[in-house]
Amino acid sequence: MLFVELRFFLFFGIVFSLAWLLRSNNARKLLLTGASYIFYGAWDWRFLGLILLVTLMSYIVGLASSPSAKRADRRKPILTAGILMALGVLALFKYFNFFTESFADFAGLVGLPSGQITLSLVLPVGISFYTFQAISYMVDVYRGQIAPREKFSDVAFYIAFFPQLVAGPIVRASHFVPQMETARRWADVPVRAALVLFLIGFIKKACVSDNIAPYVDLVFETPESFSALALIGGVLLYGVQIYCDFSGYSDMAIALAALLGYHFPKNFDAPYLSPDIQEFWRRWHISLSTWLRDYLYIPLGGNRRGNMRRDVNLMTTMLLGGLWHGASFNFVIWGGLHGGALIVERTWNKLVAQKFKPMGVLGRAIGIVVTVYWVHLAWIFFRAPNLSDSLAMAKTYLTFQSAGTEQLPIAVWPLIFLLAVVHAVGHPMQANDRLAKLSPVSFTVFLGVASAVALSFVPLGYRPFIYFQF
Amino acid sequence: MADRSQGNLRTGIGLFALFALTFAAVAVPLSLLLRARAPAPHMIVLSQKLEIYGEMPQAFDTIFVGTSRTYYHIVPDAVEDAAEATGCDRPSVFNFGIFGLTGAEQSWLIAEIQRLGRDKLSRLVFEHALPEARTFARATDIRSRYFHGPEHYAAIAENISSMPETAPKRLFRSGIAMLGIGYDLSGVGRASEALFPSLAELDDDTAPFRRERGFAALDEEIAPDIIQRGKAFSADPAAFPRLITKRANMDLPNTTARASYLGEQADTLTNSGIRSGIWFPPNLLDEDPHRRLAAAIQEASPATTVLDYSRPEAYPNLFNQSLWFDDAHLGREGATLLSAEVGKDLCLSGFLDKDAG
Repeated sequence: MLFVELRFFLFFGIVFSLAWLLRSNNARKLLLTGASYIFYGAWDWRFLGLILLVTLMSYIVGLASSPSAKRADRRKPILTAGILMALGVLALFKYFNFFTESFADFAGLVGLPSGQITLSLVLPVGISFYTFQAISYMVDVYRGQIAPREKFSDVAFYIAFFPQLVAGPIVRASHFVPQMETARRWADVPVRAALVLFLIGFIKKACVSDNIAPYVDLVFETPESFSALALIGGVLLYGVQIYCDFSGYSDMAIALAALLGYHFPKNFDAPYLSPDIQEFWRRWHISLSTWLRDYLYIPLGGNRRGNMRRDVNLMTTMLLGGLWHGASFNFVIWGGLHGGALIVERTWNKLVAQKFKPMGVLGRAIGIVVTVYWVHLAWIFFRAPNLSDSLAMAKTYLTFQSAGTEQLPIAVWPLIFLLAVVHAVGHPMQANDRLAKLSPVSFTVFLGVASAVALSFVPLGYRPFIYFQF
Repeated sequence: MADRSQGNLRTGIGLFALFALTFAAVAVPLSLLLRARAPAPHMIVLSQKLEIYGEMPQAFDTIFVGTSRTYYHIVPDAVEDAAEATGCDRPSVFNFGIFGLTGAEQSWLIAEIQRLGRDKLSRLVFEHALPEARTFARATDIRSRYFHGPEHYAAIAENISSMPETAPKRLFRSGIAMLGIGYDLSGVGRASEALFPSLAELDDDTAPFRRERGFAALDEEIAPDIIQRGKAFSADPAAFPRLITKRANMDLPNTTARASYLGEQADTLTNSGIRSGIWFPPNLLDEDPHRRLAAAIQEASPATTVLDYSRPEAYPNLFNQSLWFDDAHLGREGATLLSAEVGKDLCLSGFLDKDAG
């Protein structure tokens, strides 16, 4: 059930109406939890048991590892066991075959017997997201940032809440759980802002990402047949597609949660306007990057133990961040390209940049271009179906040389330019804030007109969100 | 408190109504404008057959129009051979059967064939076409969307109102048709189609339809769902006699409106100089009231040739279980046998005579 499907609108309409008709906070939470399980069951009901298992584990670990637990000496081992179990579930479904295959390949290389076990497991939708939320709950309780929930149903609600269940944002327990304490009030719901955000997300996903997806698929399916310029165009289009797809989903998720009275943190903030990779990661998939920072990079030591250790921590975080996306060396390389860029940037800043005067707007513009170029080089590894295709495409991308002659439709270039302008201008204009300030009648008329026009740009047939595979 | 809630509710309903009105005020004209500027979509089988016929209308003097029961049952060679063997001049037949053809689609197709055939077309045999869609998915697929445009509203209404069905069924089909119309008027995807043309390769190969002039044998199809359908039917040998018995004992509905609907279509063709016929292919499904309908049409439109092969007692050779692929279609052998009967009967009825009509 996709946020852009008619059946989702019907589903949400019913859930929204019932939720606000109920007065009791508990009844609302139970309704939303039940609706979330129905939402997930529409994908694959078989994995509801897995979510319940992860939830039960988080609930028990939360009770036993909180600062108020009776046996203080057992808190840390219990938390460690809980995290390992959550990661074990993730590893089993997502990485088991990757690691056994990689081990067999390695064993073959060094001449050892390479008996290989593979499991034919279906990857449960959203497992990476809800596993990270479960870990967040356990860690936040352990750290004393939130009290453990006495009711199992509260933990179930936090982990399963449908706007974020299958593709994030990864909402921290310390951010969400306190919101459960009291019944949400309709008067506090920013209805117009939420509707604008939903519409923007809908347009990004359905009107932009889904329309350009076939062109991207074409380039990535047969990259060797395209000229260097067309291939670069295809890679740039993929950058647009994944941004619009994922940030569109996040916008809609945040808006849906807001309409039900809950606040989710921002997940994207015009990332392609970043002048360096460090800032890029403050603007791209913010909920994942901050999660990795707070639950992995800082516990590893962060930048507190010297430059060398900082660089190792950075690279470890980015490589694992890459692997989080999927069991493939392509994702590891993608993470490595970002990690490498972060290390180079920090070293550059320390050794060179601090000794010169900032270059102002020009310097920022150059930074943006270089960052976009590097980020898109990394996207090649993220999107290409295998390592050999990725390397061949990266070679063309870097050298501007290709034996292929096929071109993309000429209209692609003005489209990329137009989208870049919208990205650059739309952000500082804060158009959504302005629209949300219109009078109710003007706003409603705007929404009707914009919805009608947007619907006309929705291609027939639904494409799942890219991040559902993670 | 309660007053404030009621006030909020009233405001909400008012704003929602304003939203719906604004949406419709923009979406409907935009959709109609883009629809008028867009070419007809590629409709599998239908587009290929229209292309072949449009290229050489002079090559065919006798056209069969209908559903999959025409598509998979009329073998042009067999019709022509039998007609010739019965003593008529050899006709030149083209099979314009399209799977899932509804009454509204059939009306459009007949008009389109007339437009393409102009003075070359002399005979047209059509079928008691299917009712309108009964699922939202079917009412909104690419072909159906095209046939839910404003120019087809009257044909949809006529097809629904004339179908010998119960009132609740008609009401349900009307509801689905309204949803289909609403979907079309919403304009969903129209600008996208214009600005981002599909890169998918169209299945527009006309060769298979040229080989046997529109006919295809269902038992030679390789689509998995069709193969599965055939397997399911043959896996239950008791189904065939059960369906025959059920059909013989069924309660026949009132077919006056449908007979009048089909008779009027035939008369319109006759009035424009085209000899018209209506045929009822063999069928095992219980909801087709062919027996009464065939007689009613003959009564309503005496000039029309009516051929009814849906009666097992009249055509026991066609109701041989081994000839059937599923409960509505024969395989190649059965189709050839049926086509020979059709060719013979058309000749004997005078339908193929040069001076008749």
